[in-house]
Amino acid sequence: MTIFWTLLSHYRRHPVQGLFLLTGIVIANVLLVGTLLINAQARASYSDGERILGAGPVAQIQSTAEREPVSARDYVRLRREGFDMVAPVLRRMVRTAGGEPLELLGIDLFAMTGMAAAGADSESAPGGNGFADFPFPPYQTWAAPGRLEQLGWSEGEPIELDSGDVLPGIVPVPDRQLGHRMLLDIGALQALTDSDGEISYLAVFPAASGRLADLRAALPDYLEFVTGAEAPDPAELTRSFHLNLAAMGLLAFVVGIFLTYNALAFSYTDRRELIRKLRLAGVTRSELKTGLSLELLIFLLGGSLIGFLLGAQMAAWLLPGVGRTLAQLYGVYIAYPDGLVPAGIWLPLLMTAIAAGLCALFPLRESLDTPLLERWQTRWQEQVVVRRDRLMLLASVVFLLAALVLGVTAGSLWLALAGMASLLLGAALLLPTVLRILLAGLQRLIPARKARLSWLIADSRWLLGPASLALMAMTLALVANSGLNTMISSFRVATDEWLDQRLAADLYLRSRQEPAELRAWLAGQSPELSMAERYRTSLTAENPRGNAVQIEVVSLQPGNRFENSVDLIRSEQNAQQRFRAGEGVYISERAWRLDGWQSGQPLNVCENRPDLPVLGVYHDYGNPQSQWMLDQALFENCWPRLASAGQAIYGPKDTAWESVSAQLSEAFELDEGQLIDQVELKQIGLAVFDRTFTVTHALNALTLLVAGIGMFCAVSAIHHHRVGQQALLASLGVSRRERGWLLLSQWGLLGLLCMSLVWPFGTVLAAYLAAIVTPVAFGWSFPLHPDLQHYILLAVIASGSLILAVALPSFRLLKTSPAALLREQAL
Amino acid sequence: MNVLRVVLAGLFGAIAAACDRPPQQEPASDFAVLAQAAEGYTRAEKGRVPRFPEDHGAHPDYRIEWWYLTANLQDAKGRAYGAQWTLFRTAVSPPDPVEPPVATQHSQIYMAHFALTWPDGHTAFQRYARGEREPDESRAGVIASPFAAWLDDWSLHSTSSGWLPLKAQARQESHKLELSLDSDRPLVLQGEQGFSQKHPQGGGSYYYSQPFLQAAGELTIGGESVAVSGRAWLDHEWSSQFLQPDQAGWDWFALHLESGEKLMLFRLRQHESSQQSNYRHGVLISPEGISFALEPSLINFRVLETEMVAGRALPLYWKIELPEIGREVEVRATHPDQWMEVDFPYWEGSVTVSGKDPGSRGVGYLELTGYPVK
Repeated sequence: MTIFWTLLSHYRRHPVQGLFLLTGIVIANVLLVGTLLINAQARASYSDGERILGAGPVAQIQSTAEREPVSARDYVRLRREGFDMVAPVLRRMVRTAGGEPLELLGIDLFAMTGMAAAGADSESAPGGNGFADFPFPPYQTWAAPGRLEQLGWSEGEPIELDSGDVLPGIVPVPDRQLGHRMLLDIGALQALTDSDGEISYLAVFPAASGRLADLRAALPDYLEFVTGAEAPDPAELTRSFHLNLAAMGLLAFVVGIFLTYNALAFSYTDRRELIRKLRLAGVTRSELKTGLSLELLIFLLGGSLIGFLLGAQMAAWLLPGVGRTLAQLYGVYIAYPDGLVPAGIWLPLLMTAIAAGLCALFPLRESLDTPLLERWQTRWQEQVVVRRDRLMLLASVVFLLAALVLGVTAGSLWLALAGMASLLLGAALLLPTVLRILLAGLQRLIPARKARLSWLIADSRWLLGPASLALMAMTLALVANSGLNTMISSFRVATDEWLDQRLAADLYLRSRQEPAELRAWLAGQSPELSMAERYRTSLTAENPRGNAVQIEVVSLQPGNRFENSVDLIRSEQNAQQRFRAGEGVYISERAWRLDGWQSGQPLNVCENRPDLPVLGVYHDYGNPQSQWMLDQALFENCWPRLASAGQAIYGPKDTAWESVSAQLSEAFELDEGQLIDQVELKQIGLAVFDRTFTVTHALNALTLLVAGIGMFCAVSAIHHHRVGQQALLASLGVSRRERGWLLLSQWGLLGLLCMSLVWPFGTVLAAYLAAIVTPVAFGWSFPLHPDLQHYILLAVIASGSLILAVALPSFRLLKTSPAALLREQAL
Repeated sequence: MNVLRVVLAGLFGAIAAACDRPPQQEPASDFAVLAQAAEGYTRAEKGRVPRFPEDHGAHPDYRIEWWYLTANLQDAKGRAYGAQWTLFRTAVSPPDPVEPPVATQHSQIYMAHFALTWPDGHTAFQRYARGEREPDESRAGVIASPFAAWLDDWSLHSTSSGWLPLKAQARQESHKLELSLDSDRPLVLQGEQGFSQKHPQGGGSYYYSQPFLQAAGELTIGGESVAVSGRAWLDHEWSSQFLQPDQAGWDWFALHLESGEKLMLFRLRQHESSQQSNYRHGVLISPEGISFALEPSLINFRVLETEMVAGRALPLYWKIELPEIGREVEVRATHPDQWMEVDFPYWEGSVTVSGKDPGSRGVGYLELTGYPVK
């Protein structure tokens, strides 16, 4: 035990070193734990299924034409035939006056109270009043506390919608099933959204299987029974998103492990003298090993615990954002519980333990194996470092080759992510060699008389020995950051351009007006104004991979304006003409990439048509569903009775759309939500895009922050060992001011040189994400648009954090007198 | 009066309790809602005689209303069964000439109970629905003529152009009720020409009964069907305020006597702190349908035995002395487990009546409400 305390006393003299070691372990754990918890929470939500007030519907009954409501008459008929397991749900997307989209769910408690599960949940209703105030004026809007926090709303706050109406009083309910959505009485929601008697779908609650079969048989042909099994499985849908999150957690873990290694290496190196003395005093190697292992274990447990607590906090903080992303990317809703599901601390702890054990192995053996009578020698002898760097270069080449192979062949998300990890590691391991070559090149460029500059470069080369691991960790984080950022900004540019192209009409109308009336009105306004119907439905089809998938089917209006709005990324010969003639269909990129339909392959579109070939593939960004596009005539032929989902109005460029829009609203008594112009629609699209990636940005920034902290720790530790070098310079007569400049420029230079790897590898990573990971994960591909501004920003951040990390310990060094420095060196 | 039905109103107890309940009140029972003030609603008052068929229908201007059917039945082997079918209506807000903007916001709420008793068991179910503007598009409603009262597929409706015969239907899980009901006797107006007083200080309800229904049909219990026949009693009652705030609950008896007479008795129990004595009421209906109101002071209720049911001490064995008509009846639950485990729970079940002559023997239904959990 004495040996243990003696070894540990090192940290009393160098508390900062202990702190750095702890920080490395904490960093390795924080994001890993955070992302694990978020994923576990989301998965727990999925396995609970969609639940309304704790009651889980087993299926839903909806109109066969998507977006067509179920009529109140049909609903009442089913109930009066004795099917008491159905309850009406009205689903409405509204927007607040501030532009925030909200999803509201209108339910009828009176239809649900007979359902045992709903009744059992009444205890969790707010205010102890149970359901009493919910279904009666002035009504209430129930929301999960997490969702309210996300929106920054408080209880009872009046929320104004863009229609000018006000949501009923907000009540937070500790119902963990509510998630992203808010709950209202169906009557209140019908009044709020002007949808008297409308029902989006009927939720079907559990009943004896015979009764469910009777229910299916009792449905008219325009209503369909969709069971949970037929509906897309949210866990399957969102798999890629969760993998991406886990990958970010792993990246931070790797960064943390690099830093842990760095801190351990310094701590053991510093104690060589102590260890040598202890061994001379008769302490055995195994006693020393036990002491050091025990010490590591304590750090490991402490660091992991702190990391776990911080990670849990982070998960709770990010969860609402993740929920928003999932809702917008996949239409999947997760719960925002008051407490996170207890997902194991064990996996991160085990991973950290193994990694830290491996990290400790080499420096530990090195320290213990030092021949007893040999004086302490510099660990960073040139040949040792060069040998190490050579090994790293070899590993790097292997990783980069692996990345290349995986990039070319990856067919699954796992392989694509493995390729990405190889790329990142390859880049990081390449760093020492690249820096060495760059520094050597720089040295050659410097004239011999510039002694100080020459010394600076030479000293920097030496620095690569101790500092390269920390620099690698930073590079890793920066490459990831740069890659993700470039990917997101490229995606945004692509979405922006795509929206410009796709939004071919000027005004979009969602109303049940008679088309003829509208057309007549438009003709009365100006002969140049035109109108086209928009149709939309959905069907379930078996994709070539053998899975039943929900397909959204849309119509493409006739005319050049609309034809040109679809840019084909793959096409058959004479695709446009054949499409116009109704001889084939287009499919979205998702249908091609993820579902596996190929250009030229025949599709069974609808019953009254023979199979039609796929004529082309188009981008359909942001749509979590696969889509088929039919020429309007073909669409109407397939679904002759379907009412249009809305109208698109267009005209010459110089039309005064604002006044047309105002007159149209007045003439047909339209609400704001029913008429929307192209500009606003595009804004909404981009706002949704931005919010979708909020969490990615947040995690990205966190990774960078983590790398910054790690860098600061590592450089501070290195710099602490540079006392002697400072003393030497001081005794040679280099002034304090000059020494300061030398130091800062040295680290600034290293930071900048690192960018020589960050920039190209960041771009390659972005290309990897854009061309391989995203298409495999979401079915969307887009061209790369490098973001130069961000590159500069990263260079500033890298050099800045290095300089800051150096400046603080340097300040202490520079204030010390040369004599004191020399004395410290002699010790 | 099977006020019990009233229960429904308890659904809105929390709303009303917040505004109406005076401070320093006894702890509210499940049925406190029946004592809620009725501002804005039409009051039931003496002097308005029910008219038919109009008054078979709903009275949305009054706060509370119910249609209450109980039946004492037997199968071919003589084994006793009981059935209950009830529909409660309550108005959430006083009548407003302005229609709500959407149908679903209609202010009439319905609650239905359906219960079956068999020789060794009992089961009860409940449902709720909001009434809509258009009866055709409504899960629940009541139409006067041709009479129909329904909530989903639980219904009570005329099968011809007249009010009788009626058909009662309900189904839940593996339990089902299907009864045809008919009678050649007249309706009985309760109280004074259909106004039934419920408190010494006045206040009450409009109330009429058809206690002479002959019932025949089929019960399905746990998937097993059994043909049954027997006697049934139908009440229809509406008001805006049944109880006064100092009343806690009631014990109510509807008895079919072997003599062909019907006996209806109830007492409204005051809260213990109340200065008032319990309000008592009784009426003997001759086989021809002629009512004879009993003198309240000469109705003696004596509890012979209580049993613990659902945590409450319930009087399930009674002796009732009616010296005015020279009768003495003992009323006993066919079995204690006829507890209605619904949102506003109460005891409602079949009973046997025993005494020394056919005018003191028979079967019937007993209803007990407002007993606190011990």
